[in-house]
Amino acid sequence: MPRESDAAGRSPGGPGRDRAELDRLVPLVYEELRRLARRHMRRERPGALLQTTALVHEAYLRLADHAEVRWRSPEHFLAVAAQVMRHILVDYARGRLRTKRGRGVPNLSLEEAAVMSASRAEDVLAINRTLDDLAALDARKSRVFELRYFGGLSVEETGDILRISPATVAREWRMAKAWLRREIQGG
Amino acid sequence: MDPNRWRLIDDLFQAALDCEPAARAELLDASCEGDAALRAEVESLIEAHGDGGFTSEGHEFESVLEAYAAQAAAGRRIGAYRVEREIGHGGMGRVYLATRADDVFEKRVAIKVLRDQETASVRARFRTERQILATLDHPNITRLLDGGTTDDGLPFFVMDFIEGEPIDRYCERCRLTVTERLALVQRVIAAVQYAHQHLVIHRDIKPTNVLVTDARMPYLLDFGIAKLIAPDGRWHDRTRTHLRLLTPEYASPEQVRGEPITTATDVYALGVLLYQLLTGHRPYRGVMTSAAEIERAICEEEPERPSNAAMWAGGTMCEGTPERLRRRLAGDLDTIVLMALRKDPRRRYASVEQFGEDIRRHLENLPVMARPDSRRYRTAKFIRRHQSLVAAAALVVMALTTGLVATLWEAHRARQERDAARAERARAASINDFLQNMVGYSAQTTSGSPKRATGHDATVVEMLDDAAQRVDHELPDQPEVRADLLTTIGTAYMVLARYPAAAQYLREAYDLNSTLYGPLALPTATAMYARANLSYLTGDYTSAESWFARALPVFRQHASDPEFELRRLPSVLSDAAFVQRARGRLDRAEALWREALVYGPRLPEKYRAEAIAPKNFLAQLYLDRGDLPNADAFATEAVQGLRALANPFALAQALIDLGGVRLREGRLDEAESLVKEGTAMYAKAQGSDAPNVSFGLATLAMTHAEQGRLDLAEQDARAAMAIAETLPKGSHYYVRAATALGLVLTRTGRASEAEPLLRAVLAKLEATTSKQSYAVATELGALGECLTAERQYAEAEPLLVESRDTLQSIQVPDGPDLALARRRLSSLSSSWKRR
Repeated sequence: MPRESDAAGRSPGGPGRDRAELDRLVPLVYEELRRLARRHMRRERPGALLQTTALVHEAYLRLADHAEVRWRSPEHFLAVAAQVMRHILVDYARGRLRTKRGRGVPNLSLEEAAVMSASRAEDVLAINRTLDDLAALDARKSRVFELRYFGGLSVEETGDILRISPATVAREWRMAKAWLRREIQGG
Repeated sequence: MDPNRWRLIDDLFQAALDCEPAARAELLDASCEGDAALRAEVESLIEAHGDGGFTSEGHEFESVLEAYAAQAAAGRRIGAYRVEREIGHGGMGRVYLATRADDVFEKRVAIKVLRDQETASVRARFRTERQILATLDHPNITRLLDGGTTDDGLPFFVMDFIEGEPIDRYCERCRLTVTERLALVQRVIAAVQYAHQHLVIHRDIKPTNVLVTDARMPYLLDFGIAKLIAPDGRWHDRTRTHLRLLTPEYASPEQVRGEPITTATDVYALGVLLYQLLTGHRPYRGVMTSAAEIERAICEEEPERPSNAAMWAGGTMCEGTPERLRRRLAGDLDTIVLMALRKDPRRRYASVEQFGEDIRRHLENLPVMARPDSRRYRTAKFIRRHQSLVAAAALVVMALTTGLVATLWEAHRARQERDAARAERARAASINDFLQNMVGYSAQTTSGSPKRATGHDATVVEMLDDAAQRVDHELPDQPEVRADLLTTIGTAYMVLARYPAAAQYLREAYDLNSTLYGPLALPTATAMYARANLSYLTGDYTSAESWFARALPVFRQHASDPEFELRRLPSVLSDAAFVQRARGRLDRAEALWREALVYGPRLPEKYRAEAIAPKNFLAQLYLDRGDLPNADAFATEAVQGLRALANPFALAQALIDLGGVRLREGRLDEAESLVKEGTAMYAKAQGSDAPNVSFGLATLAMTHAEQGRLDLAEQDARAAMAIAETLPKGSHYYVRAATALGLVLTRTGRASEAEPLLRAVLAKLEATTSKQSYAVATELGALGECLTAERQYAEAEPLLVESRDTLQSIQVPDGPDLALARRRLSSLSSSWKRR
């Protein structure tokens, strides 16, 4: 399992989570989300809209009873899931761009890689990079962005995970968005 | 970066966004103190914030999943159809291009598969609606062909497949001119009109539901589908946060508020569509990210004029420059679009047909029917804020002026035609009727008092002034219409408590009606009735009585006329009775009220409130006489009857009056809750500063005083007084409020404050009312008690004796008022002796 992004180990929100535990959890969630996404791809339920939130909750239900993991709370899981979704997207984006250049990516089928346009892939990678820069400046803002943007979590859910008020989430979120936008446009 | 500096940037960014855009420069000037780099940093962030971007809720991940889904759809079967490919998805679900698997002709259809729903209810609705939808057969409407549920239980609909693109994209791509766009929209409107004639409302008209083919033929999709999905018409269901069924940007105010959906809803949506096609923008500007913001904009924000919006259209139009587009839209098209977009469904085009007709008239350079929102109409916001008496009155006056505009227009067009003039008279009569019903005046009668707006109603009065001026100057050759409208306007002024203006117009109304019809005609009697009420309201009971003496026989004579006149009789009789009661002639008042009751059973259901009201008045009469059992019986009957009718105006008064009876009976807790309920009802219906609220508060003050809760009593009495002080001193509101306050002050050791108040009221009453009346007796008692507290025993004694004697002559023995009068006398004599 490629664990390239350095965001994986950085300051995970939530109380007392350590690096080792995270390393154990991320691959599990990653696999489950990928599996669910593929299943959706095969259209087992035509018509059903694919919502990140719904998907994540479905993944949680599947992993809730997992023998290896004891989730402290649904929030704990959501926090991990948001990071994982970021990974998945970054992987797709990298895969897409490598495919374009004629090199396959081990973990990603051609079919899968085709789901993201090249320009979208560039965007995702730019966001990912810039978000790491933001984390260095202000870890909390970067977490808020990750949870909201990649994890699809609501202001309230984000607040619960980071133990801050919804109003603070909203303020951190707008600053993070403005900063990222400026950096990406400018840079 | 230094953490402190980062925090400073963050703080400034947040503070700047929290304040008004106009104040930002000042804030930054003050905070950056010459630190240009800091300022540039914050400004660039604010700019980036304004650019938007980064939708949340996992959109990025979803778009990947969506792409998967689209890839995988091909070849799947839905019902009897085979999917070729996905052609779209949205809040409602997915749309596929498909063919019927067993169809030799390979007919292509569009299948809409809905996302998870309460499948059973959708299916049930589908069964009832499909018959209706199947009858829609119009060249610009896609037909609903079939429907069912997928293997895993999701509802789907099969429709004609149209190879086209959304109308907004089509117009842009083909760079259609304004005239071409209008022609396209006219076809759409014709299709909607056809559907309306077949009793189907679209409910979800938006660009993606109007596809245009290469042959420039528009097709309306999804007719009636919205109703299948959301029968209550709400664009989203608050209980399920992620379920947004209809497209909020195109929802009408009534959909947002969950109010009834009518054809006017489609008029609105067509207005949004036209706005967007003409300007390249939707009607509401500003960043709207939350449902609440969108709802607020839809319900409250006035859309910018299309010609103004065109200036920032970025030259997407084939009119050349934005300035040329602006000139093209200014005038007719602004007016037409804004008329369709009015917040109040009743004030939009009455039908899509009229909407289409106006576009046609514009294209043919004929004058359009739409009128711009004038100064009068722009008070809509004001009306929304006051869902009360003022609002009702404003609507009445608007109806009046609208009617007047129509009248003038019609009159101009058909000046010579007597038939037309007669039609106009009928119209004016209906305006009159509408006015009186809206204000609840006729149902209520003067006892319940007119609703009155104070202070903040300048706009209402302004509108009325405007209408009055038109009547003065613009109807010289329509005396019948003018006579009728003068009465209406005079009555409206009376309702708004503008008594001098009311007197002026009612005098004119009376003169003109007598000249036109003679003194014994109904219109003349109607004007007399209005003058009688005006006299009563201003405390001039003598002239009120003589006006009624002349008007009543005319009304009685017309009692056998059609329903319209008969239903007015109970109100007229009741109001006449009030004058008699005020003059101390209880027997005459009783006879009039009993006569009013006789007509009750002959009235149709919808006028029953008028038939019940006299019961309440009779209860008051028995109260005057101290006959509590009869008073209670009548008042209870009135409350019960009115509760069943759900008529808040009449019920509010009845509740307060029953409370008054219970107060006299010593059932204080019951009295308190009844009076509170009635007062709150008045406040809700008429505004918290309505005279009737004052009446309720005064009664509540007396109740609290009897309960010994003097703090509360004083609060109530002062609140009542605050309202009553804006009214004439002779009005019964003022009398009631001042008396209550005087008594509370007396009983809390401030008799010297109470004395001038009570004296003034008594003087006013004695000037207008019979000395033998209950009202004067009550007032004498109150002043006597006050003077006793001030130890002016010699002056108090004759007052208290007179009060007792009057009550003895009009009341039954052992009534509560008489008991009180006797208590006052004995307390006087014991204090006097002690001194």
